[in-house]
Amino acid sequence: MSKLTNQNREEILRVENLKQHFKLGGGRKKAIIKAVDDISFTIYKGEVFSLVGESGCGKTTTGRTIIKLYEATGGEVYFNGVRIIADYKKYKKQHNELMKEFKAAKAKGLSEAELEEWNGKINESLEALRSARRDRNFEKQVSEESLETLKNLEQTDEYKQLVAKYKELDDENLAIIEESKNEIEFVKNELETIDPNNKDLVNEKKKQLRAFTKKLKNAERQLKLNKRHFNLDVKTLAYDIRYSNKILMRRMQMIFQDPIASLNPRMIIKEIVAEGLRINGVKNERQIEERVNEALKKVKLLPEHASRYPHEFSGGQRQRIGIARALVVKPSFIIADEPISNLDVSIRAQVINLLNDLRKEMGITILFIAHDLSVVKYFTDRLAVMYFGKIVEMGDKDKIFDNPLHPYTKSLLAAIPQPDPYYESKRGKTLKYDPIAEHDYSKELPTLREVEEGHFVLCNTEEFNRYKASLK
Amino acid sequence: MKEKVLEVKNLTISFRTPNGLVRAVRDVSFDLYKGETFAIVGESGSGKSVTNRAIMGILARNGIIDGGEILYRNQDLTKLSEANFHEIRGKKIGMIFQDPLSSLNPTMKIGKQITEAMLVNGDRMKNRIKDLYHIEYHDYLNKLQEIRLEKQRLINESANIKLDENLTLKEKTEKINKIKAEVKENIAELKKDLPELKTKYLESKKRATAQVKQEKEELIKENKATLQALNDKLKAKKLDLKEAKDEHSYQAAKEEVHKITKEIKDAKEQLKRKFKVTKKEAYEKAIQIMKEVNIPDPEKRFHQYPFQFSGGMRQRVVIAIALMADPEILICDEPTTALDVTIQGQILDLIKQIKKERDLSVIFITHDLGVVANMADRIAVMYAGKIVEYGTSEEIFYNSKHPYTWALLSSVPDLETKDKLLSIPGTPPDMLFPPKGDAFAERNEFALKIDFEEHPPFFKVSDTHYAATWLLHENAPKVEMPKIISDRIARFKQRSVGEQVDESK
Repeated sequence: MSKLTNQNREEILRVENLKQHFKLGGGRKKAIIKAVDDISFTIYKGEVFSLVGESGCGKTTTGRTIIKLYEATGGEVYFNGVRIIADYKKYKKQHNELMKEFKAAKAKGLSEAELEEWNGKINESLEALRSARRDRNFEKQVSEESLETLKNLEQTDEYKQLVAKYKELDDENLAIIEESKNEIEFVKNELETIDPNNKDLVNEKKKQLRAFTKKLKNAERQLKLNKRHFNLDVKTLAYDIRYSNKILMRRMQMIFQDPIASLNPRMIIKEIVAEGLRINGVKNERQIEERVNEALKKVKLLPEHASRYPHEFSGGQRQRIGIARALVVKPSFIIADEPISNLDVSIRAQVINLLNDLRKEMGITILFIAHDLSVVKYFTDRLAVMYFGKIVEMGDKDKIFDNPLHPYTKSLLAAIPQPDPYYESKRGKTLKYDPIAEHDYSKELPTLREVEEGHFVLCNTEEFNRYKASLK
Repeated sequence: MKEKVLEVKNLTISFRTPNGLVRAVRDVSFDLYKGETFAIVGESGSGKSVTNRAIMGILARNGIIDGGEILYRNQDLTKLSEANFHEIRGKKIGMIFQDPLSSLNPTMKIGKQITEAMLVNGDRMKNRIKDLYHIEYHDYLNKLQEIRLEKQRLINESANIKLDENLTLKEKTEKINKIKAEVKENIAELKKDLPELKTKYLESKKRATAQVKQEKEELIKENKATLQALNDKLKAKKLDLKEAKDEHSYQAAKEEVHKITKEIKDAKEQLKRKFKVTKKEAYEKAIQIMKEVNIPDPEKRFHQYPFQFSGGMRQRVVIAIALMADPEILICDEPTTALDVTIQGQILDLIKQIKKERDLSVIFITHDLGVVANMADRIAVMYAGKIVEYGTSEEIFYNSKHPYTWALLSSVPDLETKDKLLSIPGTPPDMLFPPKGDAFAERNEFALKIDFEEHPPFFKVSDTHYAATWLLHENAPKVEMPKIISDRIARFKQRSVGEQVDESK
């Protein structure tokens, strides 16, 4: 596996032998669909990684499994170095095998030293099994460390920051209160000295008095409100610390394909965008509004759009709302599931440009799932081509587009329509990929091999040599 | 010059909605020649689908054709009655829809859906009767349609007068009354001929029915003789079978009997086929067409349901349905938008192939200019219900003149694009209130002052290439097309030159 990772770059997501099988039917008609079958890849920080393939090849399923919309059948996924999907079955199988061996050895008789050694091995395997079981319910886990910090919540930096922020606000309000109190006192004293028959002056002074009282009350109310907001923010902070695993998962967000179907038609935009925040334990309404407006601004929508319903927007705007919904929880990794294939050509550019800007400004890493190769070429750094649940070719964009090796990649590249009538008239029929005619895997099954640096192809030894020769 | 198949002249269509009239198509004209592919390109809401629905005669109820003509074989389709349209829709002009999943019935087997139209219209005797009296019948129907159109005119014009803000109430009623009187007079005039036409048509119908009945009897009589002969033969052979002595002669006789029973069956089938389209006949044709559209294993697929097909296969079925009636014109309404790249290539190849084999004329609607480069002979770009530029495929791709065409071309990356894509700012105009000048002016960075005041006429670029933009006026400032497109064209030219050099070597 180490071959697939580049040591020089910081990785953000690592997928190892991911499998996603669906069961179909029952009884005699029972079948298993291998939507994703044993794929591995790594995504580095700040890059755009694309999954390409025809519909039904499992690229969307991969995205959904990574973000845990489906429960993975097998394989492990590491996000920011933390295991978010654990392969419990694999460890269980390993452990059972070990126990079998141990029993066999025990029957033959073991010396004291050997027994010790076996014990160590078994304990190790049990520990791995336990941690895998824990990681199955990864999000609900609360670590002892975080409980410890919760006890000493008041010592944490975040808490101190919050206190400082609210103290500033309180100081402001207190100053205002002090000032208005003094003013009121002053005006009251003045009123007593003025001749009561001078009505104009009296009225004016009374007016002043009213204004100052209002100011005072306002400041007092703000003071109270701030206290409440402070408590809510502390609650959010405590939630963040307690459910640190959940918060890690929310660094990963998804943008869906269909901008009409993915927005609830009965919710206003503000609620749609804020939903993620509420689920993640943010309770302070003021903070929610600020962050929603910030997210809308980032996708170039106006704050006044927040009170409208999805049907009032055009297709491109709707897709941008979908992006804002993902951005509001400040993700570091976004899975974009064919975000432009349902849009008109003229608005596709809007969304692509927006994603490009976000990537540059916020340093977001993107897993881009698409079938339109010209967009992929424009947008990504590295890509993997999928065919029927398997990755057939993976590598840097330039290497794959310049030297496609796998026949399926070649057929995909040949099918890209180009805005050039002369070229199109020259082009013959589109290549059709026929796996049975192309490969002979009767002797040796194919594996993913590195043909040149950063360029992997699914092939067996014979093909590997052929591909290698073709590169020179 | 090639033969003109379809001619659209100054077509204007609007939709009546609670908020007012939506002007979906405004003054669109184009010709379609035999054996060519004509592509209409534009973003959603530009009126390209509405135009083609009008050609098919399947506009929504609230759609009104305000003016213009659609001429097919010297018949104006906009004035045709529904009964007459049945002769054209599907049979002469076929259509392929965008979403193959929603245009197929999920509860019906594919085979039934392909053969349905053929079987429903399959009564050959009835069709023959119709053929015999159809001239008189259509005269009568057309007269009725004229009266209906006259009534419609009254409704439309009075609605327009009511909306006119410059008139006082009195003037309005006066005008409406005047039109009412006019229409009344016209209708009375038209109705005069009606009884005569009706008796004519009924008489001719009676005559035709009698004639066909006689023909039918003759046919049956003829067949009876042959069937009788075959039956006698069968009886004789069956006797042989009974009297057979050894195994060998028994087998021979049995074979003979089988042969004759088959012959009888065939003869009966032949007779039936003269009266109507039999299921067997429809099945044979369906299998042949399914083979033509490259559906593998058609005999098995014939008995399957739509959900058992993949997206590309479903689209092939839809094409097969359209081809069953041997149409002359095929309208493809975004046939590949719901499909992915490889399948899209295959479907485009298929459409190209059947177009060549059958010498079809194709109208191809899409929003993706990249798709069209492969298919179209001529291209029209539509925006806000108007054609803004049209020309041959090469002219549109290499030498486009209208800023909207530029915008469409530059908003998609090709394989070499590295610059930032140019997206079109803003949204298309609200067609409830169509803009006064050029509809694209508000989103156009090259817009001139006159663009906001007056709609540009078509300026001639070459004999086949016209564009509606003031930039082509002799007094307009010179504007170059965006760099992203000119770069791309230069690159393509270099590539094609390189290829030619390679070939000459």
